[in-house]
Amino acid sequence: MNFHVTNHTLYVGKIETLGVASSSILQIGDTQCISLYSMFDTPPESVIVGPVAPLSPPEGAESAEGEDDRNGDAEPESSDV
Amino acid sequence: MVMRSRNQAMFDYPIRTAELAVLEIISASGSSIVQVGDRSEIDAKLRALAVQRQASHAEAGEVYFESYSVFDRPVPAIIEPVDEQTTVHVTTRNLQPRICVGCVEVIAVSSSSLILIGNGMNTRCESRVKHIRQYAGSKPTPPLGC
Repeated sequence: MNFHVTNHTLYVGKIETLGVASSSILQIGDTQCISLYSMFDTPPESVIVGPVAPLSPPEGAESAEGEDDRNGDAEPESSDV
Repeated sequence: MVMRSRNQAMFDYPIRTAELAVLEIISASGSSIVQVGDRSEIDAKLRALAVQRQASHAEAGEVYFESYSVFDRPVPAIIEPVDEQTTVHVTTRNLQPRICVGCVEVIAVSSSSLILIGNGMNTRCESRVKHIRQYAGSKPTPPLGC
């Protein structure tokens, strides 16, 4: 299939945007290929009410990527990230 | 017919330029890009575990990306054309050499997003976010929907 595109004059006065988030693009210009992926997971079971217990670590937690607090730059006081 | 093809050749600009007078951005965060100019490859990635809880991480333990499947599940495959019938040939003709925009105002750019004033070639952005809220309560409640 052949697809012919003719771009005529493009003048825009003003663009006001509140936010560009989660793998989005605001582009002024031409492009060839764009692939945008966004996964956002907040299922009901993400809300845990009860005694604050450690979340279960994954298999092989020693080699897993956690927050790097070995250098002493972690903030134990902070309650949220 | 001959005239028309000559006009086409006269007004065909292979590359368009973006012209922008004012760009106002308050915040750009989380693996995002603000670029004025052309770019060939973009590959922005963000993984985020957003934990809100009533105890410090020292007290309530660390969280790990490996615990949650959202961080290692594959992205949906793009179906590539297999033969001439499904292949699309795109030809572009630009009658003007520039795209003109007066003013762009953006409050926030975040989570592997992109503001590009100019041309791009291959762009790939990926963001994976997992939210966990952990509240202290006297008696445990089952999750909603159970």
